[in-house]
Amino acid sequence: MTILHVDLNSYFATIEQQQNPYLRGKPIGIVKDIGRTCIIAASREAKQHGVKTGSNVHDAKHLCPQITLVKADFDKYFHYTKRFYTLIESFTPKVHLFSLDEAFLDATDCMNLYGSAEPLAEKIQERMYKDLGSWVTASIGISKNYMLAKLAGEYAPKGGYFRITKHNLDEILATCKLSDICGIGPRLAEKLKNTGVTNLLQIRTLDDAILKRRFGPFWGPELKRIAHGQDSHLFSFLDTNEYMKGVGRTITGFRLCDDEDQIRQIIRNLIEEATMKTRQMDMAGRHLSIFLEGENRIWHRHQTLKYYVRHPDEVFALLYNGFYKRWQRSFPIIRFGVRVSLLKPMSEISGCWLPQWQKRERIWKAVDTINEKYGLFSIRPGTLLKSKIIRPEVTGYLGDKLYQFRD
Amino acid sequence: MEQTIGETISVLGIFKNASFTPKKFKWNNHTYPIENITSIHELKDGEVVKRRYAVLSGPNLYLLEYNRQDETWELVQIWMEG
Ligand SMILES: [Mg+2]
Repeated sequence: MTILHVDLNSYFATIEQQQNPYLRGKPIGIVKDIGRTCIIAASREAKQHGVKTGSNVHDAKHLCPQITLVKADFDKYFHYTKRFYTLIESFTPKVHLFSLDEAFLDATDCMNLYGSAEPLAEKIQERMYKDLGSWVTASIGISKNYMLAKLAGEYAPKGGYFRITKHNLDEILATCKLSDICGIGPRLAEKLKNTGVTNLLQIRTLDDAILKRRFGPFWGPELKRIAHGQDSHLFSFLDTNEYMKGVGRTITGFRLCDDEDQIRQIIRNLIEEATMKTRQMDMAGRHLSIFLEGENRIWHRHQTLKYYVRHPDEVFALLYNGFYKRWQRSFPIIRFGVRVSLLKPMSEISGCWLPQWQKRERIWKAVDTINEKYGLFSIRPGTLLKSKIIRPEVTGYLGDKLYQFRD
Repeated sequence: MEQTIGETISVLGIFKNASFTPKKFKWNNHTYPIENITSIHELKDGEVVKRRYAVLSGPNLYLLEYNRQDETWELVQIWMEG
């Protein structure tokens, strides 16, 4: 296999600099709105001063007094992502958009066309310069699988490429940061450190049973594979139909939530969004799940139904009234998640829909039409009338967003 | 420094290979030659598709917007250096 990982550098900030040449070469921070305190993206110049995604504006101004704040323009970023995706897809149809600014190419079948991966990487860079703009650059990682291609990208210069081969693999695994591996989050990295693991090569010598006991049935074997440079299971979904994964929404609060009304509202809010997206994709799902995470505990429930659903009231009835209410909540919540999965296009779902279902479908279709025109949550259930609305997320992993780029 | 304008303008350009390239625009009885287009993107405003061109003319950057439904042009914003 030959996999390329293409990652646009400092995406949001670079697009702003592409549009406005006066911002080029300068430290800029993107904020959701002027007056908001969180920097959602920083230009490479701002990063050199230590400003990061997630930095707060106050700290950023301290680190870099000359920083310019720019209001995010998500319409523009989405449009650039569409063009990025079209560009990448013109090289090979085996493309997986991984986030707004990252894509994988499985170039295995087109190697005879380009000779090898390096000239292909150069061609991609050229096209990017021409189609997206002279200021826009990407780092391209090349290797034999998804995990290593993404890791290789960390070593690629901006506007260049880097390849992990069998000759440099061990050296890289021995020296890369644990958190450079996609999927190894800060918690797992910390746990590895506490186990005495400071580099990935060490894991090769650890006993499978010990790994499993310490890191659990998923991460135990997974870490062993990663240490040998084999692909991570986290990427296995790339080869399945994206939409089978389902549509979910999670949100992490700023503080622990112990208020029943608020918990009900948040769950309802997340369900509204997940089902709206399901309808937007013209699908329905028959697997529903919910999780609520406390500081160090997690509660979750899921159920596979015999029928397909796509209306918030049905999903709320099961996840909230059915599961949540029966649970004697024993800890405050920081993270909430709901998901509708095992999706199927409406056109492929046969069987008779009950009259009540038809009625609900008509109601929600009408709601969708109005919300499409006047903005999401223009019409919303009573539960959410007085609460602060959680709006769909626009950064990070795409999940269902991907589906919108397919047209 | 940026300034929001929101005024109707007229635009002159070339239509070639199914794409339009603005060459100059007229705003307040003054004609601005377009030296460079730095960015083009589309957005949906309700059901109306709008296409935005960021263009350089002289020392300033102008954001022009084409409304595909009304077929009108608007000067959205000006950025001035300093
Ligand atoms: Mg990036």
